Amino acid sequence: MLPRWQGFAVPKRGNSNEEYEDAFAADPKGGRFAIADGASESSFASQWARILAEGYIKSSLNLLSKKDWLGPLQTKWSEEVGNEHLTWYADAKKDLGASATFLGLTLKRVSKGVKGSWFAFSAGDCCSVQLHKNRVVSRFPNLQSKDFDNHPKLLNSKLGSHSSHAIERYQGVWKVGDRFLLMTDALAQWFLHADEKGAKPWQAIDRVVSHPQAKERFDLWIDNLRDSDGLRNDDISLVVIDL
Amino acid sequence: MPFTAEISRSNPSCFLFVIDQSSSMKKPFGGQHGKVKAQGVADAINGLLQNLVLKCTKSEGIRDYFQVGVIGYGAKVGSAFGGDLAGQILVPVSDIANKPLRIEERTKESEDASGEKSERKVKVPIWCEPSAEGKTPMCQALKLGREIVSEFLKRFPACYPPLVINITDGMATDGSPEPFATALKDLASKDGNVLLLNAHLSSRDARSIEFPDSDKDLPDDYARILFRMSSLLPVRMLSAARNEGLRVTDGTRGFVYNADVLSVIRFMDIGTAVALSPR
Repeated sequence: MLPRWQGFAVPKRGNSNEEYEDAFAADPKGGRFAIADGASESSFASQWARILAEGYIKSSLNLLSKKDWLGPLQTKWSEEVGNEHLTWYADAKKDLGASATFLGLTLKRVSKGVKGSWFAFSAGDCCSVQLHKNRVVSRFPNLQSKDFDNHPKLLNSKLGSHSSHAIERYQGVWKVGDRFLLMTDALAQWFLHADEKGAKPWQAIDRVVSHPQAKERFDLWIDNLRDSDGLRNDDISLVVIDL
Repeated sequence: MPFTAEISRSNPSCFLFVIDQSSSMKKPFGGQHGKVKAQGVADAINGLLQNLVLKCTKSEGIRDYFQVGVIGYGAKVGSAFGGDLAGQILVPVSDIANKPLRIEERTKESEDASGEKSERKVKVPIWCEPSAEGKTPMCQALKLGREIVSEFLKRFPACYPPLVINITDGMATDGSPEPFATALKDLASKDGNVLLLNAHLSSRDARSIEFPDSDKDLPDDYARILFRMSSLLPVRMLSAARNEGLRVTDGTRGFVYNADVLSVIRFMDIGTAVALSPR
């Protein structure tokens, strides 16, 4: 059985949908899922976040094991952004490259698909939480809610930039019935803060994502969290994977 | 908690630069040999404006997160903008981006991952030319600055507090600037008091000092006065400064002596920060 997945996206309040700079991508057949968050201060960041997420799910395992797996994605960003004559500031900003945080998860199946292993890459403060029977069985990177600030580790789109040192690698095992939650930073920070208080935030998420109109519910839920539960105003992305 | 307001297009903040253009700025700059202080001021202000623009540059253009002004004081006190912005006091950062006085092409050396050096042309915008004439009416300039910031606060009462940066060689000729600095810092939005930073450009060949927490190493009375006039950095700026590798304490003030003041742009929080300073 293939993993079932859902993706949710809400732009920062005050920004349009076009200004949403997170990205996520999924290939359930290949067991690949990715989430990325383009840095607010960089230009062409939404393109870079999308290229990273899509690039991860399409890359071969062989390529992902190589240190320079980012290289082809950096080339793609450079081609997409193009070389046309820009204003002095767009030129200067393009020259600095775009930056993004990133998390990619690969699920491998053994034993007729009822259990398996997983491995993941992460750079910065996108988070993964693995749940089994109403409890957290793994989460990475190892952050607490107080650790989130505006200076996470970033992957840069400039060809040859030394970004690979920002990447941390993780691995583990999964069983049928597990759920993975992949989150960009603002939701991850809210989640960890609630978890630190013992509030079991995955139950609130479950109520939203299992609703028949889950997408509309998610938008409303995020609105409420922003108004009354300390959710930071930022682009929000969540990928839910059920095994 | 103060200094937590979100800086956005609907709730922008304000940068007001107040720059010394008096005749004493013709003297050599201790911070960089072969340069006069007036050139040091022009380089500082042009670098600050460039970095501010780049901070607000997105793929689609400039986001007006800030209103920006440059007040010069010397033979006259008023707008120091030239070209299309001449005479204007406070303009959106997109106007700064699109209306420099001119754009110079400079050659910049860079090094790739393998350590190979190469040269390339970069565009460097100029908004303010060096100027050094007349006395140093710093008090009058701070008074005008207070009026401008006060008007801004009426329009955006819940803004992240405006930042005023005074760049000078320290010698006011129209009285003691301290009461004027205090009056400026007494202004506040709902999010906190106006911040005053001072950048002291001296002819002395003394070592540079960045964001000190006491005046004990400062070389003269002018520096000590400017240190006292400078705001204590709020908690979020201290945290940003630590990220820049600066040693700061709760007593750290927004003051630099013969040093680069560009880092203050990076202290302003509009979201996930990236390295700028391409100049």
